[in-house]
Amino acid sequence: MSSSFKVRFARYSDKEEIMSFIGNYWAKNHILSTDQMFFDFQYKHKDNLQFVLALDTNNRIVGVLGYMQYDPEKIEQDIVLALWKVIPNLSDPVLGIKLIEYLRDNIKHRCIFCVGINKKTIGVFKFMGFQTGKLVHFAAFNKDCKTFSIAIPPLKKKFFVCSDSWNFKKTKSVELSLEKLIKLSGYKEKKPHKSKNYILKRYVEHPYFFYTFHEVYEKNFYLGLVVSREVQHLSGRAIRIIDVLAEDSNISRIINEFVITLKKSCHEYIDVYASNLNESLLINGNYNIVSDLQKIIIPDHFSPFEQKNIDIHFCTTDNQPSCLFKGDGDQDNPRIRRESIAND
Amino acid sequence: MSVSTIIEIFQDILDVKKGTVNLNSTSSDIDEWDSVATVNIIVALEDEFGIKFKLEDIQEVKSVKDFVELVQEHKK
Repeated sequence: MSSSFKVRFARYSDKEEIMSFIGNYWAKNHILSTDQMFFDFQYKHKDNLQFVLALDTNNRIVGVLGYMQYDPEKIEQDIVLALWKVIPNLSDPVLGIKLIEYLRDNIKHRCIFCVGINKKTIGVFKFMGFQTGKLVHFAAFNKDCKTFSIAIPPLKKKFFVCSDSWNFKKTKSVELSLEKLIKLSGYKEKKPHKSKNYILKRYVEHPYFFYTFHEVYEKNFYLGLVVSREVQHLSGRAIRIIDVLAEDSNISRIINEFVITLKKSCHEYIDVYASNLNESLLINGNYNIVSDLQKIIIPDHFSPFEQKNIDIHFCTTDNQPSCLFKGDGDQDNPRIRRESIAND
Repeated sequence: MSVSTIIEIFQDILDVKKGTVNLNSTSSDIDEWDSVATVNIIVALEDEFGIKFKLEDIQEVKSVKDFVELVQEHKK
């Protein structure tokens, strides 16, 4: 059966219609439907938009698939999928799948993945041959914090055990630090691999969120960077690890030692969502797994604030497990347009 | 292969009451039956009967009966 829909890459001239589509069919007042600057920040690449579109016979948009390339100059791309929506009840029930297939067929890639897939679509991704899973949510609680406004901590908070051989230094010269990072052999081999330009754009040039970069040293040996963001609700503050830019084999140890930054701070906790971490190292170390069963609550939504745990599912075409974070793709972004630095 | 197993899979994935789905049901009869549900049903049928469908197969199926026939073809 031939489909009466056409699939193609978006052009910059499609921007207005894509934004309207997002407002009409994804979420009313979503930032990507109202904020032109943010839309460009996220999806404009050179003179194009990183979208695959499905159009009907009248050339109206009936489906969109947003994506980002971690290093657009590379021959083989690591591609992260973002917003994916097709109008319901179309005559072609697999048009959504065709958008992803179009991307697969037309951009030479090493891997395609997505962080934050809807639980309902896990079967769809499996049908397409993706591996699926859930990011594990870890948190380390500040024992000196007397009042918790954001989190519901465990009854018994851990004493942090940290090694003297580690050092975390906040850096303002992110560019210089990234120069060191991209020279690390373990980082070069990482999959997915974020290029220096992607990291600068994603975290340094973000129009609403402010990210802090911490250089990581073990015995004065540079291991990479922790990217964090402070969140607050009422009088409570917390630190979220959004990404760890380092060799995968070092990441769990880095996260475990990073709790040193909570000492003498007013923050309630540090949390991180990630895949493929060394769970036993973190649980036997300074972290707890966040779960309703353990009666530990670490919110993920801050505007509006919702004091509940949120699962983040992911999918990947890569058969090898890799460390994915909340910062991968479009997960760590505001949902509604605001005038100042947001706190979502 | 049992037709009742297939109907159970439909009811389970569409999250509808027993008796809502019958052989003649189509996506226009049941609100919960959207394109995502169609693929989830396909994946559940693959797992249940140890078969593998192609993308083209899904485009052809409209009713529960079509799904039953599709499974029968693949089981041959």
